[in-house]
Amino acid sequence: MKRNVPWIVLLLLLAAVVYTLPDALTDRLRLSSFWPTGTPSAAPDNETNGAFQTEQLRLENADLRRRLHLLSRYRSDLSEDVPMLPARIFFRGDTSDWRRTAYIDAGTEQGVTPGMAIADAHGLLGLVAAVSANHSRITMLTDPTLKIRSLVAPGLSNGTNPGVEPSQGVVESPDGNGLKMLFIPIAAPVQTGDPVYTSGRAGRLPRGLPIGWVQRIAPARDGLTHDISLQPSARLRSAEQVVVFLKPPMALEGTTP
Amino acid sequence: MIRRRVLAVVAIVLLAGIQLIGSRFTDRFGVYPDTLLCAALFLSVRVAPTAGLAGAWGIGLLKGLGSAMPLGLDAFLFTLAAAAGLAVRDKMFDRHPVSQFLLTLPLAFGINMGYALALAADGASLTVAGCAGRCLFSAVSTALVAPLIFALLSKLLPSRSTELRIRVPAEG
Repeated sequence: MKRNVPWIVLLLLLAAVVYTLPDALTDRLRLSSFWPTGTPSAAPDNETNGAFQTEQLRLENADLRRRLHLLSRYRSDLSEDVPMLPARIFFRGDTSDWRRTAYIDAGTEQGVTPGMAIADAHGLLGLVAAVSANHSRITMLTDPTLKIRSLVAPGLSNGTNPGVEPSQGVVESPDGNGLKMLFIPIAAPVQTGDPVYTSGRAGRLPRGLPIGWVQRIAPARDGLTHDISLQPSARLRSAEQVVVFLKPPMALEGTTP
Repeated sequence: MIRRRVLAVVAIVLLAGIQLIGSRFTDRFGVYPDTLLCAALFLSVRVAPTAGLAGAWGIGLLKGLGSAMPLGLDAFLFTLAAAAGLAVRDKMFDRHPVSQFLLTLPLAFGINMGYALALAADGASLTVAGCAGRCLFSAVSTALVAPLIFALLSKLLPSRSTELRIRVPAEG
C-alpha cells in the first residue's frame, strides 16, 4: 500500500486539476464526446422506396404540426413577446443519480445560450445548462441545483391577475425529489390547486410560464411560511417536443432565475 | 491476455452506456445502482495496484463525461475508493458475494456523501435527512449489484494471484 501512495496522490491531484477546469471547457468536451456528430435526427434517405418516404413525410408533417401548435400556444399565452425556437429532446439521462438532465437538438448555431428556459406544451421543463454547436444540455426542473423565482395566487392566469396580488416565492427540488415552493408567507391565501408561474422578475425567464399546481400545503417548521408541495405542469419524464425561449440572460443577474 | 483486457475495457464502456441509458429504467425513487463504481472497486481489488488505481481514475472520468456533475469529481472520488479497496484487498476474501457487498456498501455510501457535499457547495437544496437516506439507498442498491459486476469482470480479467490446491491421498 505504501508503495502506491505517490500514485494515489498523483491521481488525486490530476482529478483536482480537471475539477478546477472552467465549466465552459469541460461542458463542451462532454457534449462533443457524447454527441460528436451534427444534429442527431437523421436526414431522410433518398434511396428508400416510396412507401417509406411517404411514411417519413407523414411523421415529419405530424412533427411540424406539433411544433407549430406548441409555438402558437405560447405566443398567445405569454404576456410578453419572446422569440422561441422549437426543439426536440433526444436523450434523457445522467450517469449520476444526483442530477436530472436531458439533451436537446439545438445549440449555439440555433442561438441557444446557457440560462434559457425550456418548456413543453404543459409548462417549464428546465433551463439550458451547457451548449455545443448543435446540442444543449438541460438541467431539469427536478434537479436539486435549480431554483426558480415564481408566483402563486388563487385564479392566477399567465402570471397575472388584476384582482389578486400574487405571492412571490422560489421553486426548488430538495434532494431531487418532487417540487417545493418556499418563502410564501403563512398569511398568503394559497389553496390546493392554485397555479404557480414563473415571475420573470430576474429577466432571464419569461413571466407567466406555468411551473405547476399546489398539491399540498402545510405550515413550515418556522411557523412563518407555508410548506408547499407542487405537482409539475410539464411532462418531465416523457416530453419530446419542446420550445426554447430565446430571451437572452440578463447581465449581472443573481443565480436564481 | 491483451484480448481479455480489451474486452474488459469494452465491458466497462458498455457499463457506462447502460448506466446512462438504463438510468430511466432502473430509477427507483430517483436512485439507481452505480455499476461504474463496482467496476472501479473490482479493479482496485483484483488487478495490479497501479493499474487498479489508474483504471478507477479512468472509470471516474468516464462517468464524469456522461454527467452534469463537475468533471473530475467522479475521478477524484473513485480514486479515493480504489485506494480504500487497495488497503483492504489483502485482508478480505474478494471472491465471495457477501464480501463484495460489504466492500461496496461503505465505499458507495462515502462516495454519495462526496457527491452531496459537492452539490451543497454548488448551492443545491439538500436536507440532512433526505441526503442520508438517499446516500444509504444508493449505496445499498450499488452494493446489491456489485457481485454481478464482479462476476462479469472476473470472466474477462485474470485474477491477481492463482491459488492451486492439490489434494494428496493419504498413504496406506
